[in-house]
Amino acid sequence: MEISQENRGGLTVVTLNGKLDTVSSPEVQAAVMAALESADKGVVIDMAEVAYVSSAGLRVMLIGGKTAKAKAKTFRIAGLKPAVAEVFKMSGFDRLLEIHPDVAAAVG
Amino acid sequence: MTATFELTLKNDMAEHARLSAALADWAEAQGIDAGLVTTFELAFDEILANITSYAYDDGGEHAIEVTCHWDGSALSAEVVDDGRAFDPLAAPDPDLEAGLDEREIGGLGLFMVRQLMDDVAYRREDGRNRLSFAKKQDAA
Repeated sequence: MEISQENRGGLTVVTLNGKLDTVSSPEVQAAVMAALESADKGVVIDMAEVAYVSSAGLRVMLIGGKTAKAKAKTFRIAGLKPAVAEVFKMSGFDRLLEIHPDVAAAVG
Repeated sequence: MTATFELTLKNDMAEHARLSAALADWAEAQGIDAGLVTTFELAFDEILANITSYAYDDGGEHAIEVTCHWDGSALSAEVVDDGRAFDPLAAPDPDLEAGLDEREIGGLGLFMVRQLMDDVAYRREDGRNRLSFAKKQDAA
């Protein structure tokens, strides 16, 4: 998993490139939590280059959403591939988390 | 004509990457749709995570046998382990309606496998769990 981040108007955009699975989830969780800690307004997770998300990855997004809520910050997910969007939908996560078509929509 | 893929893994999550790479090579040679292979890669992540986390009490090394078959239209797989008896089909569905604060992740992985596959079957035989699953490739 490649993880990078940049600041876009007070929001930290965390870009993931790879597979969000059992093995990669701990490092992604650490990056998401660090971004939530340091961001002024909140975090956008750019998942346009994520090939698939397993339940371990969904767990990271759930923790991110809960943590952001506790800190009164925003937590947005952007750019889900169709197969990944299907996983979010079948697990009900599309109703739990704020999902945008792409980063531009998420920071706009 | 049926093509067969076989690989024996250790009960270590790092083995998922080895399985994924070998499966992708085999599947590409058979001309299997990449999206279908990704679905199986996801299912193997959930199933191996479950086995490596819960199947063994002894802390020792165990063999997990993975077999896949491709018949030209459907991909099927079987995962065999010698861990404690566990029927993933008997696990309760997660509460998909729970809100953000109440939502838990337990049971979600195996629920996803059941949702993603056309068929999932389990049997306990000779002290082993045998979990099989299959999905047809979408018509091009």
